[in-house]
Order: sequence, then structure tokens, then C-alpha cells
Amino acid sequence: MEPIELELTLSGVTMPVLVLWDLAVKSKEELFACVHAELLQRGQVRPSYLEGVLERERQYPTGLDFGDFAVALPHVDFEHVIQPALVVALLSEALPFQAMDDPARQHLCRLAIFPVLTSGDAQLAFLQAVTCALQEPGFYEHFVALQTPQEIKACLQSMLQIAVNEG
Amino acid sequence: MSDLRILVSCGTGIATSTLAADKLKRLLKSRGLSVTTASCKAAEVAGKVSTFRPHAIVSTTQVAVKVPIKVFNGLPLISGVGAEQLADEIAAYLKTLSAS
Repeated sequence: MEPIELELTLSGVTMPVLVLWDLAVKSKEELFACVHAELLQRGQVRPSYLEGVLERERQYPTGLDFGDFAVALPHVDFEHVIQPALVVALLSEALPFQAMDDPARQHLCRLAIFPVLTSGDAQLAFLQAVTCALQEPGFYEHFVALQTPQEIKACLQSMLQIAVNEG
Repeated sequence: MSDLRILVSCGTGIATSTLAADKLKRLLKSRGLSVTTASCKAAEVAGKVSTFRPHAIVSTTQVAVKVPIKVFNGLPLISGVGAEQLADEIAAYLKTLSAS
């Protein structure tokens, strides 16, 4: 599927979202390179983003266990980012990510959410919305089974509604 | 005790620690505890312990340094898995401190 672009608005802040669906990548490095290329092409990150995200993941891994599934949240320092974005990548096959709280353990993740931020505060609400939605029973299973760009966009919009209701 | 301080740390001291701190404050409030939190990078924990003087530390990453403060794993605050139980544990721990 071609990359899907949309914008989400939460509490007056708008965030560009890039969705890479059914991405056939064989390693974290390949995934990060792919995300880097898409963001670089859109002028959202500096060329240093790739090394930044790889190094950050090495130092502070981001595999997060939600119980029935795990999701990676690869972070990067602000200095590598030009314009904030949220990248949602669904992999065709799960890849191992080291656990955030224990690098000796690994979680298999099919979904990776990249918060590409230039500051904390308001932009963090989007990451919060994602982690909040992932805690909703059945949300993940429903989301990863989606097939069309229309469904994916609608689901991401509804995700914000979950966050608003929770908050 | 009115002034309970919790240090929340993560890789950069910005993203997951802020999310975890927000959630923790809400969960502790519903348990009758009002706390002040500060966020920091995992690498800054030792320094923050001396300046912020937290009663407990909640971290979403491993804290490599040895500190004389109880450290809780904060990941449940992000994933939701075991969040209520963690809040119970932290609340119980803070209450033992205020009792002494």
C-alpha cells in the first residue's frame, strides 16, 4: 500500500500523520531507514534522524508489552526533527524489539509508532492518545486487520475520540 | 504528608516520563494522595535525587545507578497492564513513609 497521509487535531494542535501499512522489512535497521527516507523526503527530519533513532533505540529500547501484543515506540531527540509528525508503521511480519524496561528481553512487534517531535507538552498528547487507544480491549486487533486507507484514517480519527473521553 | 515528591524518569526525560507522570498523578489522586512529580532522563537520576529529594522513583527504563530511594517500574502507566496494581503499591509505599 502507498503511504497514507492525514492530519489529526487534538486540543487545537494539528499533527501530520504518516501511515506505512504492510511494510515488508526484515530488520529494525531496514524499518528505520524506510521511515527516515519517507520523513526526509517530506522535509520533516534532518539527515541525522536515522543515526539518531538507531542510537536512541540502542541506548533506550522501546518495545512495550500491552499484554496480548507488543508495540515499539522508537523515539528520537528533538534536534533531528524539523517538523513534528507521527509515523504509524504496520509490518507485514513482526520484528523483535528490546523491552523498554529490560534490554535483556525482547518483544515481537508488528506495530511501530514513531513520535517525531520538536517539543514535549502539546505534541505528547498524540502519543498519549495512541497508548491510550492501545489499552482499549480489542482496539489493536481491529486496527491491524484494517485493509483500506479510508478505514485506517477513520480508525485513527476515532482513536482521538477515545483519548478525549478518557482524559 | 502534604509534600510527596516522585521522580519519573525515562530515556529523554520528556516523552514516556511525562505520560507516566500524568497517569500516576491521576491514579494516586483517586487514592487520596496528591503528589508533585519531576521528570528527568534516566542518566540524570542520581543528580535529581540530591536536588529534588524524591520519596520514590518511577522509571520506564532501567535505572543503572544505585540510589537509596525505592524505584518502581513505571511501564504499567504507559501500557495500562497492571497500572492499578502499581498505583496501589506506590500509594501503600508512600503511606508507610508518611506514617513514620
